[in-house]
Amino acid sequence: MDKIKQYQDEFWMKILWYREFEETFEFVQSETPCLDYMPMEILIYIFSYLNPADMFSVMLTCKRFLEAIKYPKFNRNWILSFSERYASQFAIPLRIFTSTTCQRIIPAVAMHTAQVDNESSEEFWEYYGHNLKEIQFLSGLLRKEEFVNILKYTRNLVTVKIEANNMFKNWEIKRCGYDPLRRLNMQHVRNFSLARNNFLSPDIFEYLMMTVPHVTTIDLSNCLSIMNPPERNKFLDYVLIYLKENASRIKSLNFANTPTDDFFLDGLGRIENLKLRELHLTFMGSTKNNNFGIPILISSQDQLEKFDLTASPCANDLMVRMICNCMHNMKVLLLKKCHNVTDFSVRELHKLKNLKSLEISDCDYVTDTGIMEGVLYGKPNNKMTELRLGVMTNLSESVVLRMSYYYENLNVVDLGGASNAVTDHSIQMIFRHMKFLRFLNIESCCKVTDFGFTGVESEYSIRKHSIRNLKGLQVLRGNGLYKLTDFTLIDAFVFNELKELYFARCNFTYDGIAYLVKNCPSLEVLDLSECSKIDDDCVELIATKLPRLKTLKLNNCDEITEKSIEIISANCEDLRNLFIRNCKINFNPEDNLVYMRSLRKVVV
Amino acid sequence: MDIDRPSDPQVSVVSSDGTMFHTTLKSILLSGTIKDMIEHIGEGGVENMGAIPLQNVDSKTLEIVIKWIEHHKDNIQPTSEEIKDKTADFIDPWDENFLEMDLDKLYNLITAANYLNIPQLLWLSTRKIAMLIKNRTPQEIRSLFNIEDDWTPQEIEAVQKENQWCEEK
Repeated sequence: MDKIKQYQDEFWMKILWYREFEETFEFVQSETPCLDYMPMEILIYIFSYLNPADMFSVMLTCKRFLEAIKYPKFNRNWILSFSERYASQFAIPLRIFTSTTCQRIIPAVAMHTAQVDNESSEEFWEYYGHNLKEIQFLSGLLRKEEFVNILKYTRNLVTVKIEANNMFKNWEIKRCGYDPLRRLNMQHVRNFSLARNNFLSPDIFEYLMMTVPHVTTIDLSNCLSIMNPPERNKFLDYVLIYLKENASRIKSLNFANTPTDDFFLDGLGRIENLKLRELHLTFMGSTKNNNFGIPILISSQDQLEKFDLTASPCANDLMVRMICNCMHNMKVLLLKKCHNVTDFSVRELHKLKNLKSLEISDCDYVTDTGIMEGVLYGKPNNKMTELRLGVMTNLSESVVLRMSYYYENLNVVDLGGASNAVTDHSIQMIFRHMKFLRFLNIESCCKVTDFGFTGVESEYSIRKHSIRNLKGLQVLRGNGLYKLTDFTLIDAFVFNELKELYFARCNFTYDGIAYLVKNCPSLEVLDLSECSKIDDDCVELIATKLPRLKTLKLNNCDEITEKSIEIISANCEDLRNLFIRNCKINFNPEDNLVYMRSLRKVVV
Repeated sequence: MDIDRPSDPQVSVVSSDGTMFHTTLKSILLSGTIKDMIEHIGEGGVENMGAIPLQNVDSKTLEIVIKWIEHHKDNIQPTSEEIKDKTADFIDPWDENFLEMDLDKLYNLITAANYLNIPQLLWLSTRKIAMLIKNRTPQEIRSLFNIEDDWTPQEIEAVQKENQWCEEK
């Protein structure tokens, strides 16, 4: 008994100590509790449910909330994106981010343009640079000296992306003597991307890699396409030499859309100690030799967790079977547009027990049999969250029916263009079972009608399953569902989380849009292109009721006039992209739109 | 010590204003704070433990908490790591109904759930506040929660200017 008493005393002593020192306990007994007096940890907990658009509202509410939003974990969702404003002559005003005025530090910067305000540029990098974890150069020519000058302030970078087509065009490497690149040493960089560069040379690659001695992820996707083959091979040979020397460190490689040949893949497969986690390839070459090229690579990389073979015309059944048999750690497998893959290998996919995400879109030879036996077979795999089966016209309803209860917990389902598989009946089963869907693509599945979406067959029948069941839906792609009418929007569209909605080529009118904008207030991207009944009044509704709208697409809408442009420029405060191609607007829309400070891109 | 004994002994807790509440061991163990304490007491301690003083929770709030833990005593409680998918909207109708209370009570409930370390209750109650914030303008948030606007127009403009260059990754 004494022992218990002693422990209790100690315990309460501890609590009392907490009360004195921890903010948490100060407010517990405050007379009038109020949200802005909540302990910081609780505010952070509450705000972690919100999406970025909500966070912008919250940070403008009061200073204490802004403090909570500064929490580093939240900052990871954002990037400072310096792209030129629409039709604006002004350079990007970096001075608002310098020491005296800056309210918030965001640890990632993307430079879409080199056109910045030069006077404050140095000051900006000096003040902001050491906070940055990620930097992206996405276009524009930077001289080597300018580049070095920026990076000398950014000591803590983890991710560097240099993805500008001709960035290195005029860079010369001085083999002898002093080169400014030698001054750089980015110790913390782990991810390094040179994607979309067509002017790479072994010299530049060597010097750049020297500046990032601890890199683990290298992205060389979309590169080298306009280089002539001898130069390209010389470059790839050098990459192989580099990988050989650093094999044990490299964990992820990306060569998507970069022309690589069998000799390169063979070389890659024969590097000792290279155990990749992630690999992206577009496999173009083909040899009949089973001991050369890709088979060697697949059999050597048994640790692979993500394998992206998107758009590989020469990926075949043999390869996919090898993947199913060798790579047991596989979590993400993407086989989009691998036209040579058939049921023969797809039916073995069930051997990959750890799959989280699978894409077999656009593989013409894959049918019901392959999917039923390979993907929807045996004990369901609980880890699966993403399944993409787009543009598969061979699939029938029964695949979707089975999927809807077999993989109830999927977050992402892509059935875009699977026009035979998605019917009123099968989509009803999706709405019935798959309550955790965040992303749904059913583009061009034109068999779907109002009944499929709302579950209401006639006035007197019992309501079945409505799309409203998908309470967490964030993205819905429904372009070309022309049988839907206003009834669907009025009856079924109540989504608190819906951010992106694509309904091009549909027949909605003013009445439906009125309900849509009222019940889906989070919309940021809205596509109503080629909807013939969208007129100025609809645009007025959209512009006034959707304050968070960032992208609006109204291509080929014949009814909209100059008045719409006026309404948009007066009301949409946060609009970034506007698409009004082929609209019958007579005057030059730039007159009104140049005053919109948020606008970045207008496609006329 | 094995705390999952078949019998479910009575336990008493006392609120900050001195009101005593009776509940069962199984229910009270949903609180991580109390579970930690009981686990340290040792064999045979639970029956003789006496009332547990909870000096940071008043009687009104404690009554609500006890109602909740008694309803959920047989459910498997997820750990805080498991409460990941936070936008999931599917909560038990009983809980939905339970959380119909005014904001003051809700604030007290959140602080109590945090102090008593009941992850599921903390998740439910903070989520409720977050849902109220969703899709509102700063002005609406201020009037809803009765928050004073402490920004100057210049400061607001500075934050807005910065936000114009911010994008979601």
